[in-house]
Amino acid sequence: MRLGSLWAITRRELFALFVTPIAYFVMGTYLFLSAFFFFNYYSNFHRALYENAALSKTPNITMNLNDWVIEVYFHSLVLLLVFVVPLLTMRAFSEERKRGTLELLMTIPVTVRELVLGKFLALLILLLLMCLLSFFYPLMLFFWGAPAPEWAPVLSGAVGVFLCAAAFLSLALAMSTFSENQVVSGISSMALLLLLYVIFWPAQSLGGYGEELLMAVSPVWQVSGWIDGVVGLSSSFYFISLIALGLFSAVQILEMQRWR
Amino acid sequence: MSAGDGVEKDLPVVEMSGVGKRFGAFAAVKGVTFSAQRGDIIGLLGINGAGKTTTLRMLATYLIPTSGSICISGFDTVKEGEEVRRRIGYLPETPPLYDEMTVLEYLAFVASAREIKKTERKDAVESILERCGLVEVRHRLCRHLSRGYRQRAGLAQAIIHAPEVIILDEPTGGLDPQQVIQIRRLILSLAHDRVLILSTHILPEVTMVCNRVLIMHAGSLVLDQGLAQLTDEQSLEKAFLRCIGTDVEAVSA
Repeated sequence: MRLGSLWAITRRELFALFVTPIAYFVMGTYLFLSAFFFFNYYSNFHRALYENAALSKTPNITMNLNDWVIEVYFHSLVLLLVFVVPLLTMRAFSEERKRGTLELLMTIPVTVRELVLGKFLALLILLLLMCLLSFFYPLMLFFWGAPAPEWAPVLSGAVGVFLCAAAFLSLALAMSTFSENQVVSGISSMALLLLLYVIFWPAQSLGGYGEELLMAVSPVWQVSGWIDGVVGLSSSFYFISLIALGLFSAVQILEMQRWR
Repeated sequence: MSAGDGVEKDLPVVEMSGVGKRFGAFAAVKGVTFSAQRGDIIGLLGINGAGKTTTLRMLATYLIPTSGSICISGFDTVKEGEEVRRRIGYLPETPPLYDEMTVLEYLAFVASAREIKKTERKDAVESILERCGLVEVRHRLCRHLSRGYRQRAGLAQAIIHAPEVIILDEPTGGLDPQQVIQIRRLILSLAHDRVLILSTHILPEVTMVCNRVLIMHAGSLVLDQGLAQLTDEQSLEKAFLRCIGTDVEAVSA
């Protein structure tokens, strides 16, 4: 893995993302929707707080910003990412195939690993920017919330959401290596991520090992630990494994192109 | 076989042995064997569907042969693909350009991806721009390039690192006569002391540029001869028509 080649790919990809409308459009959409979600949750909380205050003399100390606004906001970001991440990745390899540049990329000294990792890093940088900007809304609560929320769960929640986003990115990137049609790539990766998102739904009715299995593979379940402020080694492994799976699959599918 | 660097002058630079490629049941290439030395300018002729592009893609390591082996500069294209890719320049049928980049940005990217040292990159890009006649369009987006300029930019990316083997797939496809002459001149200027393989179905191109002819038909290599030797005996057109099984007398009447 040579850093020079890796950086050449990453830099070109970042260039393509920011010189064309893609980055701005996707980022704008994501930030608008996440702001809407945040506003919604905060308004509900605000209203509920006042209603509660109107009804009873003693303040309800269990109603706090962390539980009612920030946690639920982070969970909604995960759902939002299910739809936004494929928008970023759908052109990643499909476009290269369509316009013939994949033939160039696979006949130069850059290895397929460097190619996949390079694209992943470029998209990860964009994703990091997007996530950081969307974490700004809960950050505002520290300045104007009284009492201010607990910072530790917010920090761990932010990291957890970003890890989850990275895992989604890796899986969606792998899906884009299959087809030269961007729409097919986008829809198939959206379907995959959505399936992963809802996979824990039948858990309770299954019970026993089935329930545990579904919970363990569910990103919603794994990220909820981070959002609650309970950071675990196993959930870190989960996200890292997903990232590795996505990248490995992408490399294999591209290499298989040579053998077709 | 891995000879590494310092391949002697008399060892072939390109060696294809019994190479075949099947796509499912369809055999696009069957049992192609040839070798090329430094200084060979090979014209790969054949009608559409003869297997030229597949052969070139295997040489360029974009495809892996289903049978046989290919060695370039002593490196096997399957086992030592990375080493091979350092030593080749490949222009596919469609020039692989990034529409959102300018010609300059594109070539700068190719230069860094082809491992040209950072200190030498600027000079390499400048000299290739001049050599390929791209100076006046250096700041133009690839999206806005005409067909002729696109071919030239594609050619520029294939030769910017001065490779030992240059592989061109129909480099004059869709160009007007003036552009064709310009590309041919450019190709002739490249030929010294390296192997150049270009595919075409335009016979005059081969007589003007190449010194060796390979004719493919239905996936097989049916003729491999020096151009001078061939044209001594018969016209290239007659040889070609004979190879593809057309009744020569009926056509030339």
